Amino acid sequence: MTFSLSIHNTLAALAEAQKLVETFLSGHGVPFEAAYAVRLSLEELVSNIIRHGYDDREPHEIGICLEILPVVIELMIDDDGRPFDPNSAEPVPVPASLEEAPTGGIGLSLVRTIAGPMEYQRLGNRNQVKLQIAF
Amino acid sequence: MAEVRTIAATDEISHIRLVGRLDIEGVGTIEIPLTAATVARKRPAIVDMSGVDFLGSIGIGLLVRCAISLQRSGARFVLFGCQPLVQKSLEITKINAVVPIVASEAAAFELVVVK
Repeated sequence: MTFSLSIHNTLAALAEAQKLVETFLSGHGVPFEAAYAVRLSLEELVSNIIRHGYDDREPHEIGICLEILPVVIELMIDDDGRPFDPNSAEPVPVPASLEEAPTGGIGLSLVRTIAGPMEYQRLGNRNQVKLQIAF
Repeated sequence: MAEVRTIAATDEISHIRLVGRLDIEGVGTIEIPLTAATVARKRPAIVDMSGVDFLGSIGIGLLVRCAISLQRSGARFVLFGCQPLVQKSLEITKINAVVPIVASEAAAFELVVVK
């Protein structure tokens, strides 16, 4: 079972996409933990693209594709932003104090641990990130 | 969506409950009321997280900012009752090393109320 959509690079479009994805996943009986991992991955990866991926203020298209397979959900996100491999993000260090605790830059660590490894490719002028979320 | 509910607002403590999803949309809704219910009061705060069923990095950032601001006022910010994946998110990002996260309301009270 496959679900795919293309959204504009706005946070409002991401919020709408999350609702559609949730409906698709719950309609196919995907367990809570796997659905959480999908939601988290979309939230962190797509919001990063929207906030940091472009040098202009023009509208861009971000592709989202979900496929429910026997034991995994495959999530693919592609965009035409700057080349960026999410695996290049540094792991989060233990803060020495509350004042040093991170208030940002931690999303990719969350995705890596909760959803799993991210497979990245640059194809032409597009980034493509793929995750296989087990359930 | 997300919501802030005030359970108690006394001279000794701010006790609030967060409900819903702390994603980009949710944080946009609760940032101001959460700050008003905790940071602005400059009292020790305990936050019931049992109703939070999603925590994104933006939600973690908000909680950390509240904790830092309260610390600067000399007060503690304690989270309790996290659902498993929410708890895991706080541990992955090492926030639990600097923001107290406990299992129960009673344990949270113990950490903030001076006897």
